[in-house]
Amino acid sequence: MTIITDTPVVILPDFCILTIVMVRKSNSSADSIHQNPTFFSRKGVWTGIKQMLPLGVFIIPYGLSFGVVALENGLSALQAIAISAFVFAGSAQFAALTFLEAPMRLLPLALTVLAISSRHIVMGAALTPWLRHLTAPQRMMSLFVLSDANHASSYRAFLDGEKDTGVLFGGGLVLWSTWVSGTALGAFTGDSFGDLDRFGIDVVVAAYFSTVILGKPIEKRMVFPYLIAAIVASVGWYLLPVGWNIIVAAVMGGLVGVVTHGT
Amino acid sequence: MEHSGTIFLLITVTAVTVLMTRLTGTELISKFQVTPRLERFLETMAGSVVVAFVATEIVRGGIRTIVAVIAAGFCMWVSKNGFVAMLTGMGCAAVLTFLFYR
Repeated sequence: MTIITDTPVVILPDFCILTIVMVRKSNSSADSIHQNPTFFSRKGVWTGIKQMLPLGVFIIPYGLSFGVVALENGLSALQAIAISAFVFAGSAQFAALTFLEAPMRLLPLALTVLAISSRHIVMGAALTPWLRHLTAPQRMMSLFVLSDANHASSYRAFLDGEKDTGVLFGGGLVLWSTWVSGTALGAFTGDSFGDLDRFGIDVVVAAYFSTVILGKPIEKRMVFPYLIAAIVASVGWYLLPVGWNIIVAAVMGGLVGVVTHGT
Repeated sequence: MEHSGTIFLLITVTAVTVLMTRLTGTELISKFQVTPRLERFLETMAGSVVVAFVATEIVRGGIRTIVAVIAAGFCMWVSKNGFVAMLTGMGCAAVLTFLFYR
């Protein structure tokens, strides 16, 4: 009796990672956590920082792109930095910018962001046994900077029996800092280029999402749901209020994925 | 001022929604059973919303966006470098602007 759960965890978009990870927890791992509770230390935070620094450097250009696009969409430099600092989720931020057209529709915005960020729920759930011994502020601080890359490394640490959960926060701190710094760089320099559309900045959102989809080979079982989502979104653009075509397409894609599973 | 208010709302709604998804996993999921069907739904929905965005941008943007998406997608598929792929997509759109939209 070694496996108690066998849960697929989605590690999606943010920084162009599109991976499905099969999560396996063993009884020995769960028992070990109960006998020796996990903790949060500065040493762990520092380990996480060192682990994630090499990847963090590559986040800066993405942040820069977001800063420039935010500026082009009417945000000030400070507003662009604020959204990166408080949201810290590339896909959700790029998506949110498309809702800036007046009048802004809050419900479609919230539902779209919820759909695009729903993977965080599964990622957080996978780390629950590891994080449950922390104090509420420590847990919230760690989860605020939860992202694809530091989740992947932390989950590996959890499976390896690591007790110091500081690595999750340390790794997230690097990703957050580089994302916000990149945004600031883009937001403060974007204006000096004049009309940015001539450089193709208006297609960055579409290009970004295109790289998210093709960052990994698309699984066969995903092709049909994605096709349905694309058709519904395209037709819905003409028929539905702004933003609702995305939500209906996402829900349809999700339902088709459930219905066609195993067929 | 009105525009600033709109942007403030946009930042607040986006930030609160994303934070909620980050906290929900550990705070609530331990109380409820996540069934394989729900996992499958969340997984496919998260991918579908990205596909839906690309489709919408193509419908909105026309030929320049189509070329940019194909170029970026192909470059990503070949190089696995997201930033280079984005630059390639932008570059193709810029060339089209230079040639046909001046």
